[in-house]
Amino acid sequence: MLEIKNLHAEIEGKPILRGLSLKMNPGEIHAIMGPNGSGKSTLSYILSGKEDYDITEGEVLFNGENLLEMEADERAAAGVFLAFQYPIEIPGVTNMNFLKTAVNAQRNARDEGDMPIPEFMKLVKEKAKHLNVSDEMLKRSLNVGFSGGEKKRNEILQMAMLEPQLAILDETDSGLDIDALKVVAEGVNALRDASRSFLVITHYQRLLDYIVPDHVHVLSKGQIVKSGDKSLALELEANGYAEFVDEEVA
Amino acid sequence: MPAVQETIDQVKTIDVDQYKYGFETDIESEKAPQGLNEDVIRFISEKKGEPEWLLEWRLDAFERWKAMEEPDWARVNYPKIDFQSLYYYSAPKGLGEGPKSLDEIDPEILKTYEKLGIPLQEQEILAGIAPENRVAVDAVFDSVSVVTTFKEELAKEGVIFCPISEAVHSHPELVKKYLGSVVPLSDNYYSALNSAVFSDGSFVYIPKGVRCPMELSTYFRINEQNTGQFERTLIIADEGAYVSYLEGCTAPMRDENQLHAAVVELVTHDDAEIKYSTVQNWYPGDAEGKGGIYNFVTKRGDCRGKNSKISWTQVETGSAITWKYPSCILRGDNSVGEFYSIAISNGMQQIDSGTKMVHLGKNTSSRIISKGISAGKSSNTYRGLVSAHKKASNARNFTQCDSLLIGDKCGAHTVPYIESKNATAQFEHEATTSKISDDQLFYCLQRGIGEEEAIALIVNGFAKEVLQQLPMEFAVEAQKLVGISLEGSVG
Amino acid sequence: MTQSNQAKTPFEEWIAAHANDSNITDNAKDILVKLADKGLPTRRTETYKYTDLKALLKKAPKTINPLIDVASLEQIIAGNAVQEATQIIVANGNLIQANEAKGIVVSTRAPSALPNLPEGTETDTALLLASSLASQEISLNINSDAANAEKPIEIILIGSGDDALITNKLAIEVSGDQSPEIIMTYLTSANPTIFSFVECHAKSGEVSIIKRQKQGAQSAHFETFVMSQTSDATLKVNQLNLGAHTVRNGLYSCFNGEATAHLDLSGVTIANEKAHIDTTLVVDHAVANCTSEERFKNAIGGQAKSVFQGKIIVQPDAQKTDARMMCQSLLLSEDASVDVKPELEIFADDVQCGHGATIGEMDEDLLFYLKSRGLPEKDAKRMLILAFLSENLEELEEGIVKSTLQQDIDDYLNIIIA
Repeated sequence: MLEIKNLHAEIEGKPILRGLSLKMNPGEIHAIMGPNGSGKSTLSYILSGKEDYDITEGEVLFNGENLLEMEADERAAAGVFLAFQYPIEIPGVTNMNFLKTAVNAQRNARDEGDMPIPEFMKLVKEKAKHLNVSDEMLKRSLNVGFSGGEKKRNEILQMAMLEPQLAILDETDSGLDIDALKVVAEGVNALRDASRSFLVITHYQRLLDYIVPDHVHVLSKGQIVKSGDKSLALELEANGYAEFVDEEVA
Repeated sequence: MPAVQETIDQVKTIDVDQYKYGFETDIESEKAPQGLNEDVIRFISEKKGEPEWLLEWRLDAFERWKAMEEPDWARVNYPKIDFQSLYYYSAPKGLGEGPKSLDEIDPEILKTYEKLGIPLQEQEILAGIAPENRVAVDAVFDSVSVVTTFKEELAKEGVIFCPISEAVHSHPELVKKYLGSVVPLSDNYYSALNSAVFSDGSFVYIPKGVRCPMELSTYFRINEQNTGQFERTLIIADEGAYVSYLEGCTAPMRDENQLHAAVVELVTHDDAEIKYSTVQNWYPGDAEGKGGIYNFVTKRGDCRGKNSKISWTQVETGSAITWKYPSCILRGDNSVGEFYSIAISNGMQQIDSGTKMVHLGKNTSSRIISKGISAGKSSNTYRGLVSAHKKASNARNFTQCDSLLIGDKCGAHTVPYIESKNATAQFEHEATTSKISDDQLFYCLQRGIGEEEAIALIVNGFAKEVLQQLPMEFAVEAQKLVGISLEGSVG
Repeated sequence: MTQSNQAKTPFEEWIAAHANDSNITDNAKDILVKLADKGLPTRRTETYKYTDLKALLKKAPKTINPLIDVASLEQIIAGNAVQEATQIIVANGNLIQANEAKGIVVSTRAPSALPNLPEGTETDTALLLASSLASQEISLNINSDAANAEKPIEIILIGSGDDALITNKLAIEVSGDQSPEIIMTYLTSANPTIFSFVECHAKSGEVSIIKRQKQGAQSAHFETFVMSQTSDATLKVNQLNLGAHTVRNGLYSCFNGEATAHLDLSGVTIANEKAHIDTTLVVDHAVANCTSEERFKNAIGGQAKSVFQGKIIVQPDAQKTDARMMCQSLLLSEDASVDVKPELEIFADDVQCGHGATIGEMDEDLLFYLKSRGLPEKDAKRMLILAFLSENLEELEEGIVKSTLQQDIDDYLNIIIA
C-alpha cells in the first residue's frame, strides 16, 4: 500500500532523510523509533505533504500512485492522515464545524456528496463518546485552550471520522499520562482492520505496549538502520539508541 | 455555528470568477440634466413635490458644500471627481413620483431584485416562514424607492416604514424635526453634498414602547450609468422602542467609477435601541482597479435618551473605495454604543473605515470590535476615535482591532485616536496584525480541506465575533461573501 | 490650506528676523526662512494634532544661547548628577567640560547640514531650530577601545537665562561590542526654552540611552531624538519626563541594517499643574528580521495634559518583523487629560505587530486595601503610582543608574503629591 524508495530530503540545504526505504502492506502497523533529530517528524510531514522540504531523490508510492506529486489536501482525500505531534489551534472555528468541513471536503473529492447532517451528528456523538470527547469540547474553537490530552484525543477523533487508509501517528504519546495514553490507544485499536495501516512514530516503547506493532524500524540519521518485530522495541527500551548512533559515528 | 458550513456549501455552488451581482437591468429611466447646480436641485425637489422648507434646506446645503473642500486625510487615492459630469437623479420611468403597488412595477425591476435574491412579493415571503423571521423590505433602485413591503402590517403597530420622499408628505413634522439633527448640513463634504441632492432612502419611526415585529431592511441598487446615488436614511426609535434594521447594496459592473454618498441618521430616545446591520457589496472594480463604487458614507447615531443603545454591525466587502465611520454620540446617561466591523479588501480596493464613540453622558459605555482582512494589492485602514468629554464620568470603552494580511502586496493600517478628559473614564485599546499561519493552513489541508476553503474557514473564524452580531439571514450571506471576496487572493 | 495667511506670532516674527542675521550660515538661513514662512505647526498638521505649537510657543525669546558663569553651573548641577559617571557638561548649547576616558572621544565642530530626515520629521520644529541655531555640534564617539562600560557616561545639558532660547545639537555614535550606559540629564534655571536635536547611531553592541528630563517648572523642553542602528545592535532608550511646563519628545527610529537588530523604547512621564507633555515616535522597520518594543507610562495630575502618538511602520521588505507598543496612562485628577494615538502601518504580511493603550484612574480597591492596612491616603497613592511607573525601569540593569532614576521618580512624586 505504501512504498517509500530511497527517499532523500533536505530543508534549507540541510539533508535530513538520506535514503529511507520502507514498505507497508494493508492492515499492518509499523512503528518507527529513533533518537531526537533522526528525521522521524520530517518523514511524517513529507508523507502528508508539508511544503518546507526539498525531495532530492527517491519516490513514494501510495496504492501505486506517486504521492509526492499530490497536494496535501489531495493526499488527505486519498486516505493519508497525520495525527500531529502539536495539533494546531484555529480560533473562531468550532471543533464540530471543522470536522464537518473536513469530512465533506473529502467526500466531495471522492464525488460522494455531503454527509447528511443527522447522520453526521450521530456519527460524531458516537465516536466522541468512545474517545471521551465531551459535547463542550466539540463546541469550542478547534484545539484552542485544549489540554495536551484533549488535543491528542481530538486528533484521534478526527482520524475516526475521516477513516483514512494510512494513519501516521507522530509522537502521539508525547505529553500524555498513562490514562490518556490508554484512551488514545484504544481509539486507535478500534480502528484497526484488514485494509487500514498505521505508521506509529515514537521515541519511547511505552505506546507500543498498547498499540502492538507488526514491524519496528529504527531510524537514525535519515535512514532505517534496523528492522525487526515488536521485540526490537523492547531491546531499544533496554539499551537505548546509543548502539545506532555510535555505529554511524564509527 | 451551523451557518458557517452552509456558507461554505453555498460558496462552492457559486461561480466566483466574477462579481455575482454585476448584471445590468435594461430599463428606461428619467434623469435630471447632467451636472450640479441650483436648477438640478430645484428639479429634484420639484420631482418629489417637496415643500418649500426642504428645498431651502437643500439649497442651503449646496451653498455650504460649494465652500467646502474634499477631505484628504483618509488613506485613499483616487483621481479628482468631476462633480459636474455626474447625474444626480435617475428614476425608472413612471416611478418618479414614488412607489406604487407591486402590480404596477416594471417587471424588469422585479426580475432584478429576484436575481439579487431580495424578496419583494409579500405572498411569496409569507409562504412557509414564521412571522418572526419575516423581513420588510424597502427597495431603492438608483434614486427612488420602488416598493416597500409589509407596510400595512407594520402600520398596525404604529411603525412607520416608508421611503423618505413619502415621509416628507405623510409625516412632515417628524422629518422636519429629525432630518439633519444628527448629521448637520455642513458636517462634512459628502454629507453636505448628500443634503443638497439626496433623492430617496428609508424612513423609520418606531413609536413609544413598540418592539418592531420584524426586521426592516433596505436594499440599494445602483443601475444607471454615471449616476450618483445619494440616499438618506432616518431612523427614530422613540422611548423604549426597538428595531433591527438591515441594509444591503449591489451595483452592476461598469468601467467607470460610480459615486455613492449616503447619509444615515439614527436617533434613540430613553431606553430605546437600534441595531443597524450592513452588508456592503457594491461592485469593487476589476482586478486592475478599473471601475467600482466610491462609497463615501456618513453614518451617525445619536443616543439622545438615557439607557439607550445603538449598535452598528458592518460587513464591508465591496466598493473600490470605502470611506465610512458609523459613529455613536453617547449623549444620554448610561447609553451604549457598539461597532462591530469586518472589512475585507482584495484586488485594488481601498478601505478607510472605522468608528467614532463620543462619550458625553455619565456612565456611557462603548465597544469596538474591528476585523480587517487585506489581500491582493489592497489597502485597508481602521480609523477610529474614542473620546470622553469632561462630564462623561465613568465612561467605558473597549476596543479590539485585528488585522489579517493575506499576501505581501497589501497594506493594513490602524489609526486610533483615544482622547480622555475625564479621570474616571476607562479606555482600553488593543490592536494586532498578523497573517494566516502556514501551520493552520497545512493542518486544514492535511484534513482534506482545499486551500481557498481553508482560508475562508480560518478568516470566518477570525471574524466570528462580528459575524455573531448579525441577524441569522445576514450572517449566512456575510460568511458566503467572506469566501467570495477572498477568491484569488492566494496561489 | 496654508498657514502663512494666519497672523504671525511674536515667536514666528523672531524666527523671521533671525533669518536675516548676518552671522548665520546659508544652510541655517534656508531652514529659518522656510520655517518663518510656513509658521509653527498647528493642530492642522497631523503630527502636531494635539500639540499646537503656534499656540504654545507665542512669546519671542529675549536671548539665544547666552553665556553662563561657572558658579551658577555648579549650583544647578549640585545634587542632580549621577554619581560615579564620566561627566560631559554642556551649558546653553556649548561644550564646557568633557572628562574623556579611553575610547570615549568628545569633540565639537560647526553644525553640519541637515541629514537625510526620517519619515515624520519634515515639520519637526526642534530639529529644524536646533539645526539652524546651534552654535556648535557636539559629538560623542564611543569606539571599541572603550573599556566595557563600567562607568556610565552622563551628558548634563543645562539651559539658563530669562526667556532664553537654547539649542543643543548632539551626535552620539557607538561602535564596538561594549554596552555603554549614556545618560542625558537636562537641568535648568530661570525659564529657558530648550530645543535639542540628538542623533544616535548604534553600530553594534548593546547601547542604553537614558534621558533624565529634570527641568524647572518654568522651562520648556523640545527634543528630537533620531536613532539608527545597524547589524546586530541593540538600542535601549529610556526617557524620564519629570519637569518643564511644555514638552515635546520626538523619537524617530529607522532599522537599516541587514541583521536582527532590536530596539527598546520606554518612557515615564509625570505631569501636574498645567504641563503639556507630548511624546511622538515613529519606528520604521525598513528591513527584515528586526524587533522593537515600546512601553510608555504616564501619571497625569493637576490640569496637565499628556499626549502620546506612536507609529509603527513595517515596509514591504521587512518580513519577520516583531513590533509591539503599549501606552498606559493614569489620570490622577479631575482636570487631567490624555490623548493617545497609537498607529500601525503595515505593508508586509509575515509579521507580528500590535499595540495597546489603556487610560484610567487609580484602582479604588487597591487604594482601599492599602489604607485599610494603615497607610495614609497620600502614601498609598504614591506607592501605587510608583509601582505603576516603575515597571518601565525593570528592563534596566541593576546599578547606580537605575537607583538614581528610581530616586528621581520618587522625589518628583513627593513634590507633586504633596
